[in-house]
Amino acid sequence: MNLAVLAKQVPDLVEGVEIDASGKAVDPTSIRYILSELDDHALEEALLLKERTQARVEVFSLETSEVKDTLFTALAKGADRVVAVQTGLESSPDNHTAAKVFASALAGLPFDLILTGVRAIDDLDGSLGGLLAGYLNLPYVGLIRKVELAADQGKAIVEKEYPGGYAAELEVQLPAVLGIQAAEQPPRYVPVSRLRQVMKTGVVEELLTSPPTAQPLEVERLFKPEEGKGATMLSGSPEEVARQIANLLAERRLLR
Amino acid sequence: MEQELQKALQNTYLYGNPMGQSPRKRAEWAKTAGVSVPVISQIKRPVDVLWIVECYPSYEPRNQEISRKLARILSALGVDFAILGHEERCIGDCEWLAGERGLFEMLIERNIEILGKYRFKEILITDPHAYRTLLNIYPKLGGTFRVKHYVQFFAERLGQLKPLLKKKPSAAVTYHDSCCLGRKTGHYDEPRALLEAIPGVKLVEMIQNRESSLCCGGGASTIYLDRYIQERAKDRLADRRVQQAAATEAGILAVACPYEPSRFEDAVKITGNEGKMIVRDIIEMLAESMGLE
Repeated sequence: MNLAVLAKQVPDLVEGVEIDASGKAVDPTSIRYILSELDDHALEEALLLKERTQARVEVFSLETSEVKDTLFTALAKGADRVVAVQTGLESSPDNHTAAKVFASALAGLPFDLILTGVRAIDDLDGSLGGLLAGYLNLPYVGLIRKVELAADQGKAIVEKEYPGGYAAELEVQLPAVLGIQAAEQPPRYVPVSRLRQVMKTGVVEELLTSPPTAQPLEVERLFKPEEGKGATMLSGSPEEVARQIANLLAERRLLR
Repeated sequence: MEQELQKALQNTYLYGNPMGQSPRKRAEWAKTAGVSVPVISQIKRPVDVLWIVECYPSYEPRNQEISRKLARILSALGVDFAILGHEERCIGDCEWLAGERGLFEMLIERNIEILGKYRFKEILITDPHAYRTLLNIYPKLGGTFRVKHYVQFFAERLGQLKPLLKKKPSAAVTYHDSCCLGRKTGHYDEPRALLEAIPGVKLVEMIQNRESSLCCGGGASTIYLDRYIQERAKDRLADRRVQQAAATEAGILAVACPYEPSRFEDAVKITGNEGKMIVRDIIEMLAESMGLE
């Protein structure tokens, strides 16, 4: 069994995020990157599968300034191979571009499962897994919180979350792409002594991919939430407040 | 590993403090101190006293108040001091005692490097755990510094301090010997001397005091294992200790460790002693007596 984990670097919100002079991108000097929380869960689920089935775990990350910290941490936790994928792009790619890059990096490799966090804080559309599955012509299931491999039958049983506390068990043919919502246990701790040892002796492989053509999405404006103008507070008895609300709606021609 | 402890260790690795706060905001508390709190990298000159504020006094709101009062006392005494500001990181006591040796060594290497950049005569430190670690463990790993906990530092300046202590506290006082200032480093007399220098202080001792003092149950990372311990133990040490304090009928439980105010204030509520006893750091008692609130 071969498992691939896609690990995205996202800005660390603890350090604060500033917008650059163009007003279209995050100022790279103001941030440091850390592993996306749900990708950490995807790695944890892959490591749990490795413990149960002796699967091999390989981790792929797009190149950023702190990518080696993430990849060495993955090695220290038990990944078998880690790869920094170089895109040649100046800025962090959108999910469509990232999916193409990963598709070219993974195409033809014998992976049974590709796991990734179902979404990331800097791109909440959660489309990477589905887009990648489309490019690789594989099935995709998102919002997964449990994976069981029945590799001899060429399938996996996955537990998918639905709104309202519901969940479903689905059978998916391998190979497949999974969007992880939560691993079966919180991501494990890696002792710093082991991490520092791996940083001295471990290898982060580098994979150069051909730069994708122009990104299909262009950011026109990036901005922090803007403070609105002061709200009007209504006071009085419930009947009086109700009358005021009715008058306000009528003034704005929102009542028929 | 318990999630709270794991999070505290991961935060310390990433940000240099167990709370997971931004290192850039480490000196935010000082902005409302009302006195100048110089950062050593900015003033670019040697100082007499480098004050290592440590994590809880830097970030935890209850302790930030105490840090501001300590700054006012230093200022009132005319001490030439500075802090490390955004360069300060956890000294590493909890990480060492939680068995996270690698993280502890990483913190020590970094702290020795930062401290080596600056010139100062001595280190003043707020946290007894960090004090003990700097005093006893850092020298074995190549970092030897003249370091004093604030109870020592102010006890040495009692002659200067005493005329400034004017207001009387509202109730009798009992003092809790923390593990690291007491049994580990033997500072039993200085905190008591400071308290007794405050006009009108009547010091009453708990049944377990000095060498036989009861641990608050917060050191060595157990502060991150409260839930874990509560599920398994009959009661919490902090609750038991507060009951000992309540038995003295003192209205003030005085402490000198940044873990205690929130731990004991919770314990005061849990043991039904709210309204009967308050918890005060010695710094707060000195500042209040000096009119530096």
